[in-house]
Amino acid sequence: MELDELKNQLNEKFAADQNKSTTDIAALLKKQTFSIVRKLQRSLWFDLAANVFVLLLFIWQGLYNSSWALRVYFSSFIILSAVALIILIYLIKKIYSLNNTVLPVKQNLETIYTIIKEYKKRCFQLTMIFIPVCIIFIFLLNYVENKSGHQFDNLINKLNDRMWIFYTAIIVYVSMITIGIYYFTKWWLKKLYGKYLDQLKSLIVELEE
Amino acid sequence: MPDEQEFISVINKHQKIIHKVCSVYMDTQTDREDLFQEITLQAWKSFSTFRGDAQFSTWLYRVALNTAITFFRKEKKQPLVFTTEIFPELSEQKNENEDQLSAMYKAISELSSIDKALVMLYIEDYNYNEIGDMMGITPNNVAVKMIRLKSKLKEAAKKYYQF
Repeated sequence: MELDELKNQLNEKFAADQNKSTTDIAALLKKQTFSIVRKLQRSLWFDLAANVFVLLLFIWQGLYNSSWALRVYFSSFIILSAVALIILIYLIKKIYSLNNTVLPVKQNLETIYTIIKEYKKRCFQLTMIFIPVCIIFIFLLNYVENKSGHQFDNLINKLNDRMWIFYTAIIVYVSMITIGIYYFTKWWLKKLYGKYLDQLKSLIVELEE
Repeated sequence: MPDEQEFISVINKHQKIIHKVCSVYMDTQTDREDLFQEITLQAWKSFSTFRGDAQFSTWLYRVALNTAITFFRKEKKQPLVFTTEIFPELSEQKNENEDQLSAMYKAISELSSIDKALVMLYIEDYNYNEIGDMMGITPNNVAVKMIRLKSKLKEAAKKYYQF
């Protein structure tokens, strides 16, 4: 029993489903899609909304926070959030334009895969860069600000002969924050995009075999 | 903005293509309906890019296959189980030809989504160049894959068909 022998009959069988009327087709056009690309768009829209929320929060804190150090801190991060926002808008536009273009199967899969992988990579890198920058920034700003600087000095004076406790506490704190953010970011990005990427990758590999 | 009426009319004329893709990719009526909806919507979104330099059927196949291949549902379902929806008459009047057809159908339903696309285009009588264009691979690669696929299907169909 060969595929060629049954080719025509299979072709007829597969097409022998019910017919849809023009009214049915018109009704379908009013519905929502739920493809993988649509899911990715939803994830990106969620990221965009979260980013806008954070940006507004930073602007508010940058303007009205009572601490001078924190005002400078939040104002600086407004720029970084704005950059992230531009990247997100670019990705959303790119995915929308991709959604409206009919590419060959392999190219279509590769394009979606590349966009999402690139986004995931940049997101992770950006978060990892933020950790040391944030930590150094907050310590410097607290030290520079008079009020907090005195508190900091008082703390150091109290510890005086036990400075190792201070350094150990700092190292443990920074390490825990770094490890926590590292694993949380990895987990979050994998949860959002990992499964899609694995599925897309396996399809591309299969086409290349 | 593309003309909705024109789109509905052209989809109505070529809807067999979408039904075929749905039959190959989905094993229950509900899933087929979902996929039909998805393909129609994707085709509508991309309709403005159809320039008429290719046949509409070829363009629609490309949209349908891209959609079906990347159509992942919320919950990963169990491996496809053959249902009699495509061959409802099997249970009543069995004959050799229908048995062979159902065995081949079951074998096709077990293929990966990429292999299903290749089989679909092959039984639709597209040549290897056209299949290669649609899939984004070389005609040689299509030829090699088809040889492998035919033998795979032959073996798989044997499981379901008693000689």
